[in-house]
Amino acid sequence: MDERLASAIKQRKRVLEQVKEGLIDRLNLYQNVAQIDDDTPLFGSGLKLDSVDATEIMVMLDEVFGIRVPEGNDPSYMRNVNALVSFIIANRPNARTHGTRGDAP
Amino acid sequence: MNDALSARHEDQGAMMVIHNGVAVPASFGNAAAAHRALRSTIVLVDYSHFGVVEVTGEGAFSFLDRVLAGDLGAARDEQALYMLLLDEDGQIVTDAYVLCDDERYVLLCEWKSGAELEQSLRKHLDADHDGDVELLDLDRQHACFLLEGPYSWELAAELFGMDVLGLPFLEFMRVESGILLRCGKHGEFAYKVLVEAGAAQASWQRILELGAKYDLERAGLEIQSLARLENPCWDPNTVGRGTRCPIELQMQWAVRYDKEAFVGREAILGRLEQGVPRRLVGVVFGDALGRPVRVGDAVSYGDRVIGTVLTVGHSPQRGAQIGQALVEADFAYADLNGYEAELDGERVSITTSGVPFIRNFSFAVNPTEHSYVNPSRPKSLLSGSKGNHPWPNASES
Repeated sequence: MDERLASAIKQRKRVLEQVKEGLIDRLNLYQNVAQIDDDTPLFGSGLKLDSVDATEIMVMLDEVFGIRVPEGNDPSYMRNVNALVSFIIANRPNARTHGTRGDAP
Repeated sequence: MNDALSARHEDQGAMMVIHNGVAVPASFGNAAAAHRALRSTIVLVDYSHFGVVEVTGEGAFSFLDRVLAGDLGAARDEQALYMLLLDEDGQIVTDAYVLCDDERYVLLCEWKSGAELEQSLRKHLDADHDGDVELLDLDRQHACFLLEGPYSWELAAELFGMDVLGLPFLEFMRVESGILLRCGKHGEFAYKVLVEAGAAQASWQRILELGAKYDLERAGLEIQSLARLENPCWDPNTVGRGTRCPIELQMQWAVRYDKEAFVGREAILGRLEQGVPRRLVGVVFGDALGRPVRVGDAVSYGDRVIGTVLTVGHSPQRGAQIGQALVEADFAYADLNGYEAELDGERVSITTSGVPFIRNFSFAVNPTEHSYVNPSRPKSLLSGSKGNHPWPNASES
Protein backbone atom coordinates (compact mmCIF):
# COMPACT_ATOMS: atom_id res chain seq x y z
CA MET A 1 0.00 0.00 0.00
CA ASP A 2 1.27 3.44 -0.93
CA GLU A 3 2.64 5.44 1.99
CA ARG A 4 0.20 8.32 1.57
CA LEU A 5 -2.82 6.01 1.42
CA ALA A 6 -1.53 4.04 4.40
CA SER A 7 -1.07 7.30 6.30
CA ALA A 8 -4.58 8.53 5.44
CA ILE A 9 -6.12 5.22 6.51
CA LYS A 10 -4.08 5.20 9.71
CA GLN A 11 -5.20 8.73 10.54
CA ARG A 12 -8.85 7.94 9.85
CA LYS A 13 -8.75 4.71 11.86
CA ARG A 14 -7.21 6.58 14.78
CA VAL A 15 -9.91 9.28 14.78
CA LEU A 16 -12.66 6.70 14.24
CA GLU A 17 -11.45 4.82 17.30
CA GLN A 18 -11.19 8.01 19.37
CA VAL A 19 -14.72 9.04 18.38
CA LYS A 20 -16.24 5.62 19.01
CA GLU A 21 -14.49 5.29 22.38
CA GLY A 22 -15.64 8.80 23.27
CA LEU A 23 -19.25 8.01 22.36
CA ILE A 24 -19.17 4.74 24.31
CA ASP A 25 -17.66 6.32 27.44
CA ARG A 26 -19.57 9.59 27.48
CA LEU A 27 -22.96 8.26 26.41
CA ASN A 28 -22.76 4.93 28.23
CA LEU A 29 -23.32 2.89 25.10
CA TYR A 30 -23.34 -0.88 25.57
CA GLN A 31 -21.37 -1.54 22.38
CA ASN A 32 -17.63 -1.91 22.01
CA VAL A 33 -15.69 -0.15 19.25
CA ALA A 34 -15.90 -3.09 16.84
CA GLN A 35 -19.68 -3.17 17.14
CA ILE A 36 -20.11 0.42 15.91
CA ASP A 37 -19.79 0.73 12.15
CA ASP A 38 -18.31 3.81 10.53
CA ASP A 39 -21.57 4.71 8.77
CA THR A 40 -23.73 4.22 11.87
CA PRO A 41 -26.31 7.01 12.14
CA LEU A 42 -26.14 8.89 15.43
CA PHE A 43 -29.78 9.98 15.72
CA GLY A 44 -33.16 8.48 14.79
CA SER A 45 -32.12 4.94 14.01
CA GLY A 46 -28.52 3.86 14.61
CA LEU A 47 -27.26 4.84 18.05
CA LYS A 48 -30.58 6.58 18.79
CA LEU A 49 -28.97 9.59 20.45
CA ASP A 50 -30.94 12.65 21.55
CA SER A 51 -30.33 16.38 21.90
CA VAL A 52 -28.61 15.96 25.29
CA ASP A 53 -26.22 13.50 23.68
CA ALA A 54 -25.58 16.03 20.91
CA THR A 55 -24.42 18.51 23.53
CA GLU A 56 -22.09 15.89 24.97
CA ILE A 57 -20.64 15.31 21.49
CA MET A 58 -19.92 19.03 21.23
CA VAL A 59 -18.13 18.85 24.59
CA MET A 60 -16.12 15.89 23.29
CA LEU A 61 -15.17 17.84 20.16
CA ASP A 62 -13.84 20.63 22.36
CA GLU A 63 -12.10 18.54 25.02
CA VAL A 64 -10.65 15.79 22.86
CA PHE A 65 -10.12 17.45 19.50
CA GLY A 66 -9.92 21.15 20.34
CA ILE A 67 -12.83 22.03 18.08
CA ARG A 68 -15.35 24.60 19.27
CA VAL A 69 -18.49 24.56 17.17
CA PRO A 70 -20.42 27.84 17.08
CA GLU A 71 -24.13 27.68 17.91
CA GLY A 72 -26.28 27.60 14.82
CA ASN A 73 -23.61 25.79 12.83
CA ASP A 74 -24.92 23.41 10.21
CA PRO A 75 -25.34 20.19 12.25
CA SER A 76 -24.97 17.78 9.33
CA TYR A 77 -21.55 16.72 10.65
CA MET A 78 -23.42 14.84 13.38
CA ARG A 79 -25.39 12.69 10.99
CA ASN A 80 -23.27 9.61 11.48
CA VAL A 81 -19.89 8.49 12.79
CA ASN A 82 -18.14 8.95 9.45
CA ALA A 83 -19.51 12.48 9.02
CA LEU A 84 -18.30 13.36 12.52
CA VAL A 85 -14.85 11.95 11.81
CA SER A 86 -14.58 13.80 8.49
CA PHE A 87 -15.55 17.00 10.29
CA ILE A 88 -12.90 16.44 12.95
CA ILE A 89 -10.15 15.66 10.43
CA ALA A 90 -11.03 18.80 8.46
CA ASN A 91 -11.40 21.14 11.43
CA ARG A 92 -9.10 20.19 14.25
CA PRO A 93 -6.49 22.83 14.97
CA ASN A 94 -3.56 20.88 13.61
CA ALA A 95 -5.44 19.74 10.51
CA ARG A 96 -3.49 20.00 7.32
CA THR A 97 -5.17 22.26 4.80
CA HIS A 98 -4.77 19.66 2.10
CA GLY A 99 -3.64 16.13 1.54
CA THR A 100 -5.80 14.47 4.18
CA ARG A 101 -6.95 12.03 1.60
CA GLY A 102 -4.79 9.21 0.45
CA ASP A 103 -3.87 10.03 -3.09
CA ALA A 104 -2.89 7.66 -5.82
CA PRO A 105 0.77 6.85 -6.18
CA MET B 1 -54.27 -7.43 -3.54
CA ASN B 2 -56.62 -4.48 -3.90
CA ASP B 3 -58.10 -5.03 -7.35
CA ALA B 4 -60.03 -1.75 -7.48
CA LEU B 5 -56.95 0.29 -6.60
CA SER B 6 -54.79 -1.67 -9.04
CA ALA B 7 -57.33 -1.05 -11.80
CA ARG B 8 -57.31 2.62 -10.97
CA HIS B 9 -53.52 2.75 -11.16
CA GLU B 10 -53.63 1.12 -14.58
CA ASP B 11 -56.30 3.55 -15.75
CA GLN B 12 -53.95 6.33 -14.71
CA GLY B 13 -51.22 4.91 -16.93
CA ALA B 14 -49.21 3.04 -14.37
CA MET B 15 -46.87 0.27 -15.42
CA MET B 16 -47.56 -2.40 -12.82
CA VAL B 17 -45.23 -4.93 -11.25
CA ILE B 18 -45.92 -7.94 -9.07
CA HIS B 19 -44.02 -7.64 -5.81
CA ASN B 20 -44.58 -10.11 -2.99
CA GLY B 21 -47.57 -11.35 -4.98
CA VAL B 22 -49.21 -7.92 -5.09
CA ALA B 23 -49.63 -5.72 -8.15
CA VAL B 24 -48.29 -2.24 -7.41
CA PRO B 25 -47.20 0.58 -9.71
CA ALA B 26 -43.61 0.28 -10.90
CA SER B 27 -43.82 3.56 -12.77
CA PHE B 28 -46.19 6.33 -13.69
CA GLY B 29 -43.80 7.48 -16.39
CA ASN B 30 -42.58 10.41 -14.32
CA ALA B 31 -39.34 9.17 -12.76
CA ALA B 32 -37.45 12.48 -12.85
CA ALA B 33 -40.40 14.54 -11.56
CA ALA B 34 -41.10 11.97 -8.87
CA HIS B 35 -37.50 12.10 -7.66
CA ARG B 36 -37.60 15.89 -7.55
CA ALA B 37 -40.81 15.68 -5.54
CA LEU B 38 -39.29 13.18 -3.12
CA ARG B 39 -36.39 15.54 -2.47
CA SER B 40 -38.32 18.83 -2.47
CA THR B 41 -42.08 18.33 -1.87
CA ILE B 42 -43.97 15.03 -1.48
CA VAL B 43 -44.38 11.72 -3.28
CA LEU B 44 -47.17 9.21 -2.83
CA VAL B 45 -46.30 5.57 -3.49
CA ASP B 46 -48.50 2.50 -3.28
CA TYR B 47 -46.58 0.24 -0.89
CA SER B 48 -49.25 -2.44 -0.69
CA HIS B 49 -46.61 -5.08 -1.41
CA PHE B 50 -45.49 -4.76 2.21
CA GLY B 51 -46.23 -7.98 4.01
CA VAL B 52 -48.21 -7.54 7.22
CA VAL B 53 -48.16 -10.08 10.05
CA GLU B 54 -49.82 -9.77 13.43
CA VAL B 55 -48.24 -11.54 16.40
CA THR B 56 -50.38 -11.99 19.51
CA GLY B 57 -50.53 -14.15 22.59
CA GLU B 58 -48.90 -14.24 26.00
CA GLY B 59 -45.62 -15.37 24.49
CA ALA B 60 -45.54 -12.81 21.68
CA PHE B 61 -42.89 -10.59 23.26
CA SER B 62 -40.53 -13.33 24.36
CA PHE B 63 -40.89 -15.12 21.01
CA LEU B 64 -40.15 -12.08 18.85
CA ASP B 65 -37.39 -10.87 21.15
CA ARG B 66 -35.70 -14.26 20.94
CA VAL B 67 -36.02 -14.42 17.15
CA LEU B 68 -35.27 -10.86 15.98
CA ALA B 69 -31.82 -9.28 16.31
CA GLY B 70 -32.96 -5.95 17.75
CA ASP B 71 -34.04 -5.01 21.25
CA LEU B 72 -37.80 -5.39 21.33
CA GLY B 73 -37.78 -4.44 25.00
CA ALA B 74 -36.84 -0.91 24.02
CA ALA B 75 -40.24 -0.28 22.44
CA ARG B 76 -43.28 0.86 24.33
CA ASP B 77 -46.83 1.04 23.08
CA GLU B 78 -47.25 3.05 19.86
CA GLN B 79 -43.55 2.82 19.09
CA ALA B 80 -41.97 0.88 16.27
CA LEU B 81 -38.54 -0.63 15.78
CA TYR B 82 -36.58 -1.32 12.63
CA MET B 83 -35.39 -4.88 13.12
CA LEU B 84 -33.50 -7.61 11.31
CA LEU B 85 -34.38 -11.28 11.10
CA LEU B 86 -31.17 -13.28 10.72
CA ASP B 87 -30.69 -16.92 9.87
CA GLU B 88 -28.64 -19.33 11.96
CA ASP B 89 -25.52 -18.21 10.09
CA GLY B 90 -26.10 -14.63 11.19
CA GLN B 91 -27.01 -13.51 7.65
CA ILE B 92 -29.95 -11.21 6.94
CA VAL B 93 -33.18 -12.96 5.99
CA THR B 94 -35.17 -9.74 5.93
CA ASP B 95 -35.75 -6.47 7.68
CA ALA B 96 -39.09 -5.38 9.12
CA TYR B 97 -40.74 -2.67 11.12
CA VAL B 98 -42.19 -4.04 14.33
CA LEU B 99 -45.06 -2.00 15.74
CA CYS B 100 -45.79 -2.40 19.44
CA ASP B 101 -49.56 -2.03 19.46
CA ASP B 102 -51.26 -2.67 22.78
CA GLU B 103 -51.78 -6.44 23.03
CA ARG B 104 -50.18 -7.25 19.70
CA TYR B 105 -47.15 -6.70 17.50
CA VAL B 106 -47.60 -5.81 13.85
CA LEU B 107 -44.72 -6.56 11.48
CA LEU B 108 -44.40 -4.64 8.21
CA CYS B 109 -42.00 -6.22 5.76
CA GLU B 110 -40.95 -4.85 2.41
CA TRP B 111 -39.34 -8.01 1.07
CA LYS B 112 -41.78 -10.76 1.96
CA SER B 113 -45.53 -11.26 1.72
CA GLY B 114 -47.37 -11.72 4.97
CA ALA B 115 -47.56 -15.45 4.31
CA GLU B 116 -43.82 -15.67 3.63
CA LEU B 117 -42.93 -13.64 6.69
CA GLU B 118 -45.29 -15.71 8.82
CA GLN B 119 -43.55 -18.85 7.54
CA SER B 120 -40.10 -17.38 8.28
CA LEU B 121 -41.17 -16.63 11.85
CA ARG B 122 -43.15 -19.80 12.43
CA LYS B 123 -40.17 -22.07 11.90
CA HIS B 124 -38.65 -20.55 15.04
CA LEU B 125 -41.70 -21.40 17.15
CA ASP B 126 -40.65 -24.09 19.58
CA ALA B 127 -42.19 -26.02 22.41
CA ASP B 128 -41.66 -23.07 24.75
CA HIS B 129 -44.14 -21.02 22.77
CA ASP B 130 -46.45 -23.72 21.54
CA GLY B 131 -49.95 -22.39 22.02
CA ASP B 132 -49.09 -19.00 23.47
CA VAL B 133 -48.13 -17.26 20.22
CA GLU B 134 -50.47 -16.58 17.33
CA LEU B 135 -49.20 -15.52 13.91
CA LEU B 136 -51.65 -14.06 11.43
CA ASP B 137 -51.06 -12.90 7.86
CA LEU B 138 -52.98 -9.64 7.42
CA ASP B 139 -51.98 -8.86 3.83
CA ARG B 140 -55.48 -8.98 2.40
CA GLN B 141 -56.87 -6.72 5.08
CA HIS B 142 -54.67 -3.73 4.31
CA ALA B 143 -53.23 -1.48 1.69
CA CYS B 144 -50.12 0.52 2.50
CA PHE B 145 -49.13 3.91 1.13
CA LEU B 146 -45.91 5.87 1.47
CA LEU B 147 -46.02 9.64 1.89
CA GLU B 148 -42.47 10.92 1.70
CA GLY B 149 -40.77 14.24 1.20
CA PRO B 150 -39.74 17.39 3.07
CA TYR B 151 -43.38 18.52 3.42
CA SER B 152 -45.09 15.14 3.88
CA TRP B 153 -45.67 16.07 7.55
CA GLU B 154 -47.77 19.03 6.46
CA LEU B 155 -49.99 17.01 4.17
CA ALA B 156 -50.22 14.23 6.77
CA ALA B 157 -51.38 16.79 9.35
CA GLU B 158 -54.04 18.02 6.95
CA LEU B 159 -55.18 14.47 6.32
CA PHE B 160 -55.01 13.06 9.83
CA GLY B 161 -54.91 15.96 12.27
CA MET B 162 -52.37 18.18 13.97
CA ASP B 163 -51.14 15.37 16.26
CA VAL B 164 -49.06 14.27 13.28
CA LEU B 165 -46.76 17.23 13.87
CA GLY B 166 -45.73 15.83 17.25
CA LEU B 167 -45.28 12.26 16.04
CA PRO B 168 -41.65 11.23 16.64
CA PHE B 169 -39.65 9.09 14.23
CA LEU B 170 -40.59 5.42 14.56
CA GLU B 171 -43.83 6.07 16.38
CA PHE B 172 -47.34 5.55 15.08
CA MET B 173 -50.88 6.70 15.72
CA ARG B 174 -54.31 5.41 14.89
CA VAL B 175 -56.07 7.33 12.15
CA GLU B 176 -59.34 6.90 10.35
CA SER B 177 -59.34 3.47 8.70
CA GLY B 178 -55.86 2.57 9.77
CA ILE B 179 -52.45 3.39 11.22
CA LEU B 180 -50.01 6.18 10.44
CA LEU B 181 -46.37 5.19 11.07
CA ARG B 182 -43.59 7.72 10.83
CA CYS B 183 -40.66 5.92 9.25
CA GLY B 184 -38.66 6.06 6.09
CA LYS B 185 -35.49 4.85 4.45
CA HIS B 186 -34.61 7.71 2.12
CA GLY B 187 -33.62 10.50 4.49
CA GLU B 188 -36.77 12.62 4.16
CA PHE B 189 -39.82 13.05 6.36
CA ALA B 190 -41.84 9.92 5.67
CA TYR B 191 -45.03 8.19 6.77
CA LYS B 192 -46.52 4.85 5.99
CA VAL B 193 -50.29 4.80 5.97
CA LEU B 194 -51.70 1.36 6.67
CA VAL B 195 -55.27 1.52 5.39
CA GLU B 196 -58.10 -0.97 5.61
CA ALA B 197 -58.41 -2.57 2.19
CA GLY B 198 -61.97 -1.38 1.70
CA ALA B 199 -60.95 2.23 2.19
CA ALA B 200 -57.80 2.09 0.05
CA GLN B 201 -59.08 3.55 -3.19
CA ALA B 202 -60.89 6.46 -1.51
CA SER B 203 -57.89 7.14 0.68
CA TRP B 204 -55.50 7.19 -2.32
CA GLN B 205 -57.81 9.61 -4.12
CA ARG B 206 -58.11 11.91 -1.10
CA ILE B 207 -54.35 12.07 -0.68
CA LEU B 208 -53.94 12.93 -4.35
CA GLU B 209 -56.56 15.68 -4.15
CA LEU B 210 -55.23 17.28 -0.98
CA GLY B 211 -51.67 16.79 -2.16
CA ALA B 212 -52.15 18.81 -5.33
CA LYS B 213 -51.35 22.12 -3.64
CA TYR B 214 -48.12 20.60 -2.33
CA ASP B 215 -47.14 19.65 -5.89
CA LEU B 216 -47.33 16.02 -4.81
CA GLU B 217 -46.27 13.47 -7.40
CA ARG B 218 -47.51 9.92 -7.35
CA ALA B 219 -44.65 7.54 -7.97
CA GLY B 220 -43.97 3.89 -8.68
CA LEU B 221 -41.43 1.68 -6.99
CA GLU B 222 -38.86 2.85 -9.53
CA ILE B 223 -38.37 5.88 -7.32
CA GLN B 224 -36.52 3.69 -4.85
CA SER B 225 -33.57 3.03 -7.17
CA LEU B 226 -32.23 6.57 -7.10
CA ALA B 227 -33.48 7.32 -3.58
CA ARG B 228 -31.56 4.32 -2.25
CA LEU B 229 -28.52 5.12 -4.28
CA GLU B 230 -28.34 8.47 -2.48
CA ASN B 231 -29.58 7.18 0.89
CA PRO B 232 -28.49 3.53 0.97
CA CYS B 233 -30.40 0.95 2.99
CA TRP B 234 -30.81 -2.82 3.08
CA ASP B 235 -31.99 -4.12 -0.26
CA PRO B 236 -31.64 -7.83 -1.04
CA ASN B 237 -31.74 -7.10 -4.77
CA THR B 238 -28.75 -4.75 -4.76
CA VAL B 239 -26.28 -4.84 -1.88
CA GLY B 240 -27.85 -8.10 -0.73
CA ARG B 241 -26.46 -9.80 -3.85
CA GLY B 242 -22.99 -9.05 -2.55
CA THR B 243 -23.40 -9.84 1.11
CA ARG B 244 -26.09 -10.45 3.71
CA CYS B 245 -23.74 -10.04 6.66
CA PRO B 246 -24.76 -7.11 8.91
CA ILE B 247 -21.11 -6.43 9.76
CA GLU B 248 -20.01 -6.20 6.14
CA LEU B 249 -23.11 -4.10 5.38
CA GLN B 250 -22.37 -1.69 8.26
CA MET B 251 -25.75 -2.52 9.80
CA GLN B 252 -24.62 -3.61 13.23
CA TRP B 253 -26.71 -0.81 14.72
CA ALA B 254 -29.70 -3.09 14.10
CA VAL B 255 -28.10 -5.95 16.06
CA ARG B 256 -28.41 -5.95 19.83
CA TYR B 257 -25.36 -7.99 20.81
CA ASP B 258 -26.02 -7.79 24.55
CA LYS B 259 -29.25 -9.74 24.30
CA GLU B 260 -28.92 -13.25 25.67
CA ALA B 261 -30.37 -14.83 22.58
CA PHE B 262 -31.53 -14.16 19.04
CA VAL B 263 -31.35 -16.22 15.90
CA GLY B 264 -27.84 -16.04 14.43
CA ARG B 265 -26.26 -14.51 17.54
CA GLU B 266 -23.41 -16.99 17.93
CA ALA B 267 -22.53 -16.88 14.24
CA ILE B 268 -22.39 -13.11 13.99
CA LEU B 269 -20.46 -12.80 17.24
CA GLY B 270 -17.98 -15.30 15.84
CA ARG B 271 -17.52 -13.26 12.67
CA LEU B 272 -17.16 -10.08 14.69
CA GLU B 273 -14.39 -11.65 16.74
CA GLN B 274 -12.62 -13.02 13.67
CA GLY B 275 -13.02 -9.83 11.70
CA VAL B 276 -14.80 -9.66 8.37
CA PRO B 277 -12.69 -9.74 5.18
CA ARG B 278 -14.59 -6.94 3.39
CA ARG B 279 -16.97 -4.11 4.06
CA LEU B 280 -19.41 -2.01 2.09
CA VAL B 281 -18.22 1.52 1.44
CA GLY B 282 -19.70 4.46 -0.46
CA VAL B 283 -17.93 5.41 -3.68
CA VAL B 284 -18.03 8.45 -5.95
CA PHE B 285 -16.79 7.83 -9.48
CA GLY B 286 -14.86 10.21 -11.67
CA ASP B 287 -15.91 10.85 -15.25
CA ALA B 288 -15.81 7.86 -17.54
CA LEU B 289 -15.03 8.54 -21.17
CA GLY B 290 -16.28 5.21 -22.42
CA ARG B 291 -19.07 3.13 -21.01
CA PRO B 292 -20.55 3.97 -17.62
CA VAL B 293 -19.58 2.05 -14.49
CA ARG B 294 -21.70 -1.05 -13.97
CA VAL B 295 -22.59 -3.33 -11.12
CA GLY B 296 -19.97 -6.06 -10.95
CA ASP B 297 -17.08 -3.90 -12.16
CA ALA B 298 -13.87 -4.46 -10.24
CA VAL B 299 -12.47 -1.91 -7.82
CA SER B 300 -8.70 -1.76 -7.94
CA TYR B 301 -5.83 -0.20 -6.10
CA GLY B 302 -2.93 -0.13 -8.48
CA ASP B 303 -2.81 -3.57 -10.05
CA ARG B 304 -4.60 -5.21 -7.17
CA VAL B 305 -8.34 -5.90 -7.28
CA ILE B 306 -9.71 -4.96 -3.86
CA GLY B 307 -13.46 -5.05 -4.37
CA THR B 308 -16.58 -5.06 -6.52
CA VAL B 309 -19.16 -2.42 -7.38
CA LEU B 310 -22.57 -3.44 -5.98
CA THR B 311 -24.65 -0.35 -6.78
CA VAL B 312 -24.07 2.50 -9.18
CA GLY B 313 -26.05 5.31 -10.77
CA HIS B 314 -26.10 9.03 -11.38
CA SER B 315 -27.15 11.28 -8.53
CA PRO B 316 -28.53 14.62 -9.72
CA GLN B 317 -27.79 16.18 -6.36
CA ARG B 318 -24.18 14.97 -6.29
CA GLY B 319 -23.77 15.57 -10.00
CA ALA B 320 -21.78 12.37 -10.22
CA GLN B 321 -21.95 8.62 -10.52
CA ILE B 322 -22.18 7.24 -7.02
CA GLY B 323 -22.67 3.81 -5.53
CA GLN B 324 -21.47 1.28 -3.04
CA ALA B 325 -18.65 -1.23 -3.36
CA LEU B 326 -17.76 -4.27 -1.30
CA VAL B 327 -14.09 -3.71 -0.59
CA GLU B 328 -11.36 -5.50 1.34
CA ALA B 329 -11.76 -4.36 4.94
CA ASP B 330 -8.28 -2.81 5.14
CA PHE B 331 -9.20 -0.44 2.29
CA ALA B 332 -12.86 0.22 3.24
CA TYR B 333 -12.68 3.67 4.79
CA ALA B 334 -14.33 6.94 3.76
CA ASP B 335 -12.68 9.95 2.14
CA LEU B 336 -9.88 8.10 0.37
CA ASN B 337 -8.63 8.69 -3.14
CA GLY B 338 -6.52 6.39 -5.22
CA TYR B 339 -8.88 3.56 -6.05
CA GLU B 340 -10.19 2.92 -9.55
CA ALA B 341 -12.96 1.06 -11.33
CA GLU B 342 -11.88 -1.08 -14.26
CA LEU B 343 -14.10 -0.71 -17.32
CA ASP B 344 -13.01 -2.74 -20.31
CA GLY B 345 -9.50 -1.34 -20.24
CA GLU B 346 -10.45 2.14 -19.08
CA ARG B 347 -9.86 3.14 -15.47
CA VAL B 348 -12.18 5.54 -13.65
CA SER B 349 -11.09 7.22 -10.44
CA ILE B 350 -12.93 6.48 -7.22
CA THR B 351 -13.22 8.52 -4.04
CA THR B 352 -14.66 6.65 -1.10
CA SER B 353 -17.42 8.30 0.89
CA GLY B 354 -19.50 7.93 3.99
CA VAL B 355 -23.18 7.38 3.35
CA PRO B 356 -25.72 8.83 2.89
CA PHE B 357 -24.31 10.74 -0.03
CA ILE B 358 -26.58 13.77 0.19
CA ARG B 359 -27.79 16.29 2.72
CA ASN B 360 -31.50 15.69 2.62
CA PHE B 361 -33.59 18.82 2.30
CA SER B 362 -35.87 17.64 5.12
CA PHE B 363 -33.10 18.66 7.51
CA ALA B 364 -33.74 22.25 6.46
CA VAL B 365 -37.47 22.01 7.14
CA ASN B 366 -38.96 22.37 10.62
CA PRO B 367 -42.66 21.56 11.00
CA THR B 368 -43.04 24.14 13.76
CA GLU B 369 -41.64 26.97 11.65
CA HIS B 370 -42.03 26.23 7.97
CA SER B 371 -44.76 25.57 5.47
CA TYR B 372 -45.04 24.71 1.80
CA VAL B 373 -48.52 26.20 1.39
CA ASN B 374 -48.78 28.97 3.98
CA PRO B 375 -47.24 32.11 2.47
CA SER B 376 -46.88 33.75 5.90
CA ARG B 377 -44.27 31.16 6.91
CA PRO B 378 -40.90 30.52 5.31
CA LYS B 379 -40.54 27.30 3.41
CA SER B 380 -37.28 26.24 5.03
CA LEU B 381 -34.15 27.32 6.84
CA LEU B 382 -33.13 28.68 3.48
CA SER B 383 -35.63 31.46 4.10
CA GLY B 384 -35.70 34.05 1.41
CA SER B 385 -34.72 31.49 -1.17
CA LYS B 386 -37.15 29.71 -3.42
CA GLY B 387 -37.29 26.94 -0.87
CA ASN B 388 -38.33 24.01 -2.97
CA HIS B 389 -34.90 22.85 -4.08
CA PRO B 390 -32.13 20.70 -2.68
CA TRP B 391 -29.51 22.27 -0.47
CA PRO B 392 -26.91 24.27 -2.31
CA ASN B 393 -23.62 22.38 -2.39
CA ALA B 394 -25.51 19.46 -0.92
CA SER B 395 -22.85 17.04 -1.99
CA GLU B 396 -20.26 18.55 0.32
CA SER B 397 -20.22 16.99 3.75
